[in-house]
Amino acid sequence: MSADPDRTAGADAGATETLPVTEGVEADRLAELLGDLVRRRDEHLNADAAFEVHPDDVQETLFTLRDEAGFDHCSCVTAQEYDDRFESIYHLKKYDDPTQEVSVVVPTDKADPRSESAEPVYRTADWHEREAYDLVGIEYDDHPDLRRILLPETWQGHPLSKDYDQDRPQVVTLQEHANPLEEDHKDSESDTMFLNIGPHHPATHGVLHLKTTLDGEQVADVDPDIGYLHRCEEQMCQQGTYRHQIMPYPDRWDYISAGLLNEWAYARAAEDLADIEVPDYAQVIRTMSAELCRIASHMLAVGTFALDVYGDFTAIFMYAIREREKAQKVLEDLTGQRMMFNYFRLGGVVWDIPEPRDEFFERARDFLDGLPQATQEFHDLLTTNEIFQLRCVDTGILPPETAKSYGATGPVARGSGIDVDLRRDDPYGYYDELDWDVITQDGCDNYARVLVRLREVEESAKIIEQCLDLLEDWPEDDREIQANVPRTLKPDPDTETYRAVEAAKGELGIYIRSDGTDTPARFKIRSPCFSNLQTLSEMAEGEYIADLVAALGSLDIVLGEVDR
Amino acid sequence: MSSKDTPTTDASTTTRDARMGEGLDDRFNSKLREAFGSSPFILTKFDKFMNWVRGSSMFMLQFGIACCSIEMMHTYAVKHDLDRFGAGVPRASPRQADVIIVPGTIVSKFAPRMKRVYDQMPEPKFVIGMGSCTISGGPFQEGYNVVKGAEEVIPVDIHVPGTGAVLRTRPGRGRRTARRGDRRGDPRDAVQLG
Ligand code: SF4
Repeated sequence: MSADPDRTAGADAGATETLPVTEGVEADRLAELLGDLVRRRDEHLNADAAFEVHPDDVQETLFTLRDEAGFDHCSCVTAQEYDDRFESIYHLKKYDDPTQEVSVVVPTDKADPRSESAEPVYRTADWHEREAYDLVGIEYDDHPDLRRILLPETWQGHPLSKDYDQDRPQVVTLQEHANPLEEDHKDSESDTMFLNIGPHHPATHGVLHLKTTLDGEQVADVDPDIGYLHRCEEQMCQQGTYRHQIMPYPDRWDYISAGLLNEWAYARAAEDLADIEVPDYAQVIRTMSAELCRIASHMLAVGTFALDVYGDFTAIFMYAIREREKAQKVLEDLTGQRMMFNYFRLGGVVWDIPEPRDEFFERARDFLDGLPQATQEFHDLLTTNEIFQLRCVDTGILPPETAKSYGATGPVARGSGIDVDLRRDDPYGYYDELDWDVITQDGCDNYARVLVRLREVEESAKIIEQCLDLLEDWPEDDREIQANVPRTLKPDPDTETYRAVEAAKGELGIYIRSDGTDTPARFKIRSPCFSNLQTLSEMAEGEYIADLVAALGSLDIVLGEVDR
Repeated sequence: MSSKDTPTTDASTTTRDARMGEGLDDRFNSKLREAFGSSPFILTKFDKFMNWVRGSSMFMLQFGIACCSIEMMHTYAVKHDLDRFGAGVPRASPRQADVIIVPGTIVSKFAPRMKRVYDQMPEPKFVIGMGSCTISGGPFQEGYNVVKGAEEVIPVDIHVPGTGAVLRTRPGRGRRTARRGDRRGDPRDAVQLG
């Protein structure tokens, strides 16, 4: 695996070394470190240590954990309402070792839910807390810009809080975005201009709105405005039963054919919650099909990126779609669907490789055999192309430390030289039995991110190849595709877990709290794109407007997942 | 959390009437019905119709919302190649487009924007609602933020049901819109239809 220059550098990594990993004891050491800050200790399934702290001690606690214990990754902030209190949970991890987790639980008063913001510690908390405010209604002191993020400004109430009445009509009017052509949007003194990009714009990859301030041709400020595809995924999942009703929704989070990767995120969290063991054979099928999804997803990322930086609907886009079609064909053979697979079940997959098996394997291998040539084509057309390099090399710079503080994961982090991949670091499925590499690039620019994706496609192909071999030789009487899972699942009340998988865009995590019924009491999705998108302003400010578009394309966001 | 405590929105949303006024919600009151009687189908010769399709080049708007737009992209890329019908180049500006395919879930914040994009298209214009989400809100119908069908915002000419797997139906349906557009020669007629 590629060396990571940041592993040895930086204050955070240095601090990690002073606190060696010793399972179990770790939690006690942390408790000792925090001392009086901890009001109560609890356990979550994913983290031995769940510390309850006072709403006014949030920053102190997090600073201590970050600087002295090396928890440099705030992967998610979950907010929820209980009968007697509100609660924010900060799920912390380490980039060096994501299996070390700690949850910081901040209960707040029911009448006046207010706690300290974590934004000064982790930049990523900015948006996460805005979302918590928007949907649940907790207010964060010290937050730089606490306003709604997903719902329109005029929305009344907080939809995931207990007293929200969904049947009350909401009035959402067409508020004019500031019109860039009107004279008054030009500030005569500083000579800046306000420019709206989106929400209907070919380069925003969906319905994203960027409020951009230009100084000449350079970007002075960019503020992504999201929520144009907020379709209540969390509410939908909270209404569904664990066993069957939730699984169709993950397909629609990251819908770039990455459905199975998302399904795996839910499956992993729920299997953890209900203590289900997945048979090996099913794990191999999962691993294989998930990697097919990753290829399809990365292909679209590369295709649309090429479209953004120098194309139209021409060769590269078409080539990318061609490879996707092939991958989708294999997936369709397997799952019966091109996009909305709904193929995983808790405890396994829904059915075995389709008969005749040989034909399926042959088709999958055909696809893999053609892939080296296809990636070579991309390298010829794209990465070795001068124009492309001019647009991408040294533009959209994202230094590793910035990426970490924004909680960037996936190809975006790996393009900044951060050696993190949950498939290897927090193994699940069959990945740890297989031979493959984590790809990192040190460029920190748009070019590095494209390279990471293209090379990851090759790695995925390697994984699929090995899975196919395994599946072919698997003894016939041992092909168990599903564990024995009860028809109605009712996990123990008040069990909490946060589990993540490496989806196409990065760490896709699910937090579930059960309340003893067959539906989750809280279902929170940590989407990689949500965090990745936050880095946009860091990458684009001070650059040319054209590079903003390139930087956005290289982030490979999908709005279904950003907004959920 | 809210799910268990508050009743979910009724599928036929009682609030909709309050918002839109009575009668407006009747999904079958389209001009199409008035023009063709009870059946909203038009019968013609396939050849004639296909020739028209190739001749009139319906330009569609490059308009991606949600999951369905991915399949929409596949429709106009290799393999399915919508260019065969002279419609393969998506237009980035609504002012150049004849057809708007609404490919995805419409939520409260986006609905006014979509209306505006639609308003900017020149007449005659046609709307294809792609996927269950544009028909009823689809899988997200019960969501607090989801508009229960594109038709609450703009008039939809053709609904293509299904979720995600609609690609196979789409090129065919595209032809049918084009057939409706056959009347473009007579603008009044087209306006009446649209
Ligand atoms: S109909 Fe299905 S595929 Fe289409 S936008 Fe809705 S959820 Fe996505």
